[in-house]
Amino acid sequence: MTVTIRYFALFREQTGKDQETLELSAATPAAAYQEVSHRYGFSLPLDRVRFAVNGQYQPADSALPAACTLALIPPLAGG
Amino acid sequence: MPFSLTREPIPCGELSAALANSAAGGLSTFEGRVRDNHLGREVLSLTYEAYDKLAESEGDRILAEASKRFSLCGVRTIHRIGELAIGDAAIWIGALAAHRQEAFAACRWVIDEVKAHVPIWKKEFYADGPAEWVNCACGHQQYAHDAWQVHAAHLGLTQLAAYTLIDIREPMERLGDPAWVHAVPNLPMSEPDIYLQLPADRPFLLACAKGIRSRNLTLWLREQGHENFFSLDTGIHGLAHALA
Repeated sequence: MTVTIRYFALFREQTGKDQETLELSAATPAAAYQEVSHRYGFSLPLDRVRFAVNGQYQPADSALPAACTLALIPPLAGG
Repeated sequence: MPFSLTREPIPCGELSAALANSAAGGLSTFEGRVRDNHLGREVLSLTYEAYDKLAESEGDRILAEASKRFSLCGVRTIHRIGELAIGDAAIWIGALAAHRQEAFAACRWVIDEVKAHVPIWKKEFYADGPAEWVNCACGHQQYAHDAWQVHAAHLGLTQLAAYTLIDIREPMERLGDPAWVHAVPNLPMSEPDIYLQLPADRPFLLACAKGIRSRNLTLWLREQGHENFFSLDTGIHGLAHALA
């Protein structure tokens, strides 16, 4: 499935990019994170990452729609 | 849009003046500023980054909920992103209500919700070492399994009794809490050195409002070799729920 991944903060620095479009075998945000994590060597465990699909928070085990944009959300620190 | 992001200095005075309603008897505002220290390290400057679209929709959702929950006459929040210097305002919250109680309560509720849900990240630049994304201590493999993190949902009275529970919030935050919370010892996190003097042979369970500050403090203590500290993931009020 074609997924556009958006990277912020720590992930943006670790990948050196804001976003990229990839062909993934993953069907859920959690599986997509594992695939991308393997590619770039992310060390943040899955349970500390949240996901947004097409601009809305979604559970890690939700189904990814076709041609979606998946944002990887590292631990927040606003305010 | 009641919630917005800006790259410019926040005009706090103008925002206060603009929140006007003749039926409102109280305006409570909160201004979060950049501190020169974080867990004992000297901070030189910092950068905030946001996922704009989601930050704005989550921020608006939180303010709409605050409006209903506290019967507000008006509410506004603005978060600054980009590079900030020490003393700069990072966030401004204004809650306008008929009476002070609702205005105060709304202001506190909004800042806690923003911290928990709005996708904004902070990178701190330190005097004594490399810059870090706050709350992302990812280089520390020993924390990967989060053994220091205690889940309230898995905690019964027997397990809880194994720890000495400490409320790390500031005394102001305990006002209005039930009696059982006041029975918990209170060592405010604003003076972190006091934790270094606690006995090393007893496990301490740290609790704050939402589990974010207790996580940061626990990581800081463990980085200095104090592995007898644990963090309660839900915050202290989640404990009452878990034990009920």
